[in-house]
Amino acid sequence: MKADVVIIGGGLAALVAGIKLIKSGKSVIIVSSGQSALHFSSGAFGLMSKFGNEEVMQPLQFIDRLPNDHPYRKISKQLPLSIVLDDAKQILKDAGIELKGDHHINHFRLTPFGFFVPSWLTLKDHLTLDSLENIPFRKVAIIGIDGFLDFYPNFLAQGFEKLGVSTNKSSVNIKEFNILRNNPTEMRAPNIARALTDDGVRRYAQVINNHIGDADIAIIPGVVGLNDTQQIKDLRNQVDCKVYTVTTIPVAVPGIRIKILLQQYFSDLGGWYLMGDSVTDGEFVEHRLSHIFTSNLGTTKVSAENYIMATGSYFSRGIKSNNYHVYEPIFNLDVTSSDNRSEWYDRNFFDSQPFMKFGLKTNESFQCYLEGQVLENVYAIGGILGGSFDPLYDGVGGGVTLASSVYVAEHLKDKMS
Amino acid sequence: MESYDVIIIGGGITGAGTARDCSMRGLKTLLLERFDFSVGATGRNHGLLHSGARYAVANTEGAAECMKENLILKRIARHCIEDHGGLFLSLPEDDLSYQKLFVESCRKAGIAVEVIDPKEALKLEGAANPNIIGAVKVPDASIDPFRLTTANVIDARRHGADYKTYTQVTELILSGVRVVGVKTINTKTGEKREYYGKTIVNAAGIWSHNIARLAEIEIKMCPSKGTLLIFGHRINNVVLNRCRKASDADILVPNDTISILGTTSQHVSFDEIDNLRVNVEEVDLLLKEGAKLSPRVATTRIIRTYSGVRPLVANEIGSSGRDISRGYVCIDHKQRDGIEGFITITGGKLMTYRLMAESVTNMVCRKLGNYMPCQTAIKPLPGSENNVEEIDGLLTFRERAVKGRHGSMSNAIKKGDKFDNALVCECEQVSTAEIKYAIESLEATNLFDLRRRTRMGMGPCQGQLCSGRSAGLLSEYCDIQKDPLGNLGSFLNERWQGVFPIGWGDTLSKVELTTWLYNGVCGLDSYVHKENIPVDKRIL
Repeated sequence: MKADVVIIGGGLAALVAGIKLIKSGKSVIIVSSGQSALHFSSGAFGLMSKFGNEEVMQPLQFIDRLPNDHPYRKISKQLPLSIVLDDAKQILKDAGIELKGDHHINHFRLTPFGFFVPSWLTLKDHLTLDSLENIPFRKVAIIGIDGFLDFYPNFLAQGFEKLGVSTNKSSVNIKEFNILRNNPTEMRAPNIARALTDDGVRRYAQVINNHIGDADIAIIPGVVGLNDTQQIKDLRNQVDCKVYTVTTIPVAVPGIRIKILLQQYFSDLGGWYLMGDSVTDGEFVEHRLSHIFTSNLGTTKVSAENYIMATGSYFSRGIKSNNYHVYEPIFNLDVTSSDNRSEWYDRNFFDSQPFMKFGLKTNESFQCYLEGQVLENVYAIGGILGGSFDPLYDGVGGGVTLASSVYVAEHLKDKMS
Repeated sequence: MESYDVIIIGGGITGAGTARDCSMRGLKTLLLERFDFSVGATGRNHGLLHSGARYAVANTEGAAECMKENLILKRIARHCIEDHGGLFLSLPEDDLSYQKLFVESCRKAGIAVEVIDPKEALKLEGAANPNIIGAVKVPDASIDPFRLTTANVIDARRHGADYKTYTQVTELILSGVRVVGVKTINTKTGEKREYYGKTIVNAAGIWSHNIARLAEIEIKMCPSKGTLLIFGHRINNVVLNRCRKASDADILVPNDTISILGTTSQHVSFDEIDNLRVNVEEVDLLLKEGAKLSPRVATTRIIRTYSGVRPLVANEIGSSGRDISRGYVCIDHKQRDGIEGFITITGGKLMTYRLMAESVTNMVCRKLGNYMPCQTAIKPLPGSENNVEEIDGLLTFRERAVKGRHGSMSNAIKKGDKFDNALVCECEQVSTAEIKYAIESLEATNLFDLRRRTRMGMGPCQGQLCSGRSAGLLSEYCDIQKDPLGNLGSFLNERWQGVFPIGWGDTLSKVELTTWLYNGVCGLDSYVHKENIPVDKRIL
């Protein structure tokens, strides 16, 4: 098998880079081992919410102050970051993912616990506010589902009340949900979404309408629209007031939807998505990766001019660890980390954790290293990147993934033309 | 003014057992605990129902005591115990002459031991190191100290005892040379109160030292820290001990769905006992030594590490704490210090809690002129009245888990309602109904209490999903809990203290997901920072 680019990993980074490369006329194979971190996504992407301990509202103003190995800094030396970010937003939009947000200024998104936190891009059916003053509604109906434990009406109400917004809480049921209760573990968001037929959506909208009362907007759990946005649109058309969904933990419906839409779009454009396969080995010739092998294809070589590592971080198994070091499990590429385990953690769970900064070491063009040598045709993007940034604590995870994917795809387009 | 026959300070197993005994003998009893039940050494040990064999060589009398109590607990606390037996293994590097001494000492102490062929031992327990050169069978078992304490408290309540959790004793009220009561502060609300009693029992474990100081009495104690590891599943089904002089990591106990390896033994100062820390080096030592007992130790996922403080009473202070007697002391401060109405019961171990309770209650009764006999060795604890072994073969996994946790009390948990059957904690099979029951009937007021009552958050994922769900239920059903999200922040941080020292491999992947969920998706970090929820509020 042969393509211009082989992308190892099948989540957000891989799909965005893959889509962009195909659109510029390159052939792309994605090798995806299965579940991706996108499945646990909040339905929002952060660009930057903290600089050190300082809260950030205008992320781009901080780029020049970032350390040299920060992906934003590396990218902005080559291309205006604004253009890269707009490009990412457009790719998501082309895939049918409707997002709101602007990279010049963060907005606030409502979290499952009723907090409003900074965000760059947020799904349109989620509640966002431009500012925490002058709230454009006075009363919110918080409408849960009977016996569903992953939606927190009290916490949401608390959050609204802090903003001076009143609430009424209620809980509803329709017959489609009953069958899920026969098994004590079935009442989870994706299962509810699967159980909702178009008829079910109509009935769900009806019971929601019965509980709006004098509220201006309604908040419901994110249990609609697993495969596309149609059911959400239908529901929003049939509910008498503006209705917003709140994501649940995990596995979150909006994340699954984003994954399905991107994957669909990539395949529609003619990309090869090898699902449920994983790279077992590869051969290097003079600082270049010549070909790889996968578990499903056995001895069949898969080769490409360029390769992209987009296998994610610990959770996605892009990087692994044992009790003395952190490593990249496929090729043993060079990793930024400490071999002293005492230095991996902060005692406060809620502070920046050093291990979150570990990942692949890359040069200014995101090329990877093997035993200290730059690999000419192997790049890294997304969650697997290491460096002086904490994707979670700094709130840059989504932005770094999208920006590095677009940038590397752009770079490869130029390199291969 | 509230007045009691006896006020017991300390809600560990000793205090709970004493409250049970006193109330059964008709005394008007009050039990005070500064946090929740079983937060000290009671909830921070191996969960091993010793046969006494481990102490036989050094202390025959203590070992005999252990064996006797072992048999009593197997009768009265069946629903807290798994009786799977134990083995003492000798490795090539161990001296077989120690085995001989060990067996002789056990027999002297009345412990039924049997030397078996190493090959037979490997058949009994496939997880044991295949290189063993000797093996001795002993009547060890495992015990759930949380259940045991809860059952004692419930029985005390049935016999009319009062108890207050989150109530810390700040002062002893003296009238001349007699202690007549205690001043307390509620550790949650700051509310101050006074309680009066004819006798005050100091049963605060290692903290007995601090309580005695309130009456300007010195009890020489030697706080000894022990660190343990919890494995993600049961690697052994028989308790494995090293047949040598007690040392690091030489006991591996199967308990419930997991196995526990320990311990280390290290002297710590009194400043550290409220804020124990496990470090990376202790974990590495436990793993290295533990792999000699069972090679599976090296390859099994660890889900947590924790440590507790042994309340050792110092006779001759040794370097580590292993040289000090594990015996208990029951001090009448009238005789020793000239202070009347004040008794300290401390030292000892989980195994002998009932005997300790009996001794101190005898002393209290003598002072009060009460001659009722002790019945705690005869009457079964709540949960063990009926035969819990007779579990209906058609029970679901969850129902079995609930029966295991609450014994015959599980009938009190609402059944059949589909909403209430929804699982909150999938690792430990804890349902909405069980969480509600713990809030309504077992005095659980926060996530920490819920964990100790139900095992919620104790499984392989360490509270990844269930802690959020439980916080949601607390906000719904518990009117005392004012800030469930702040409590969730403290809870996740407390879980983290036992996870980061073993944070590698699959555990680190799980941790990454947990941080993404609570901090990334939910934004809990912003709240914790804004509200200044402290890291070390681990017990609350």
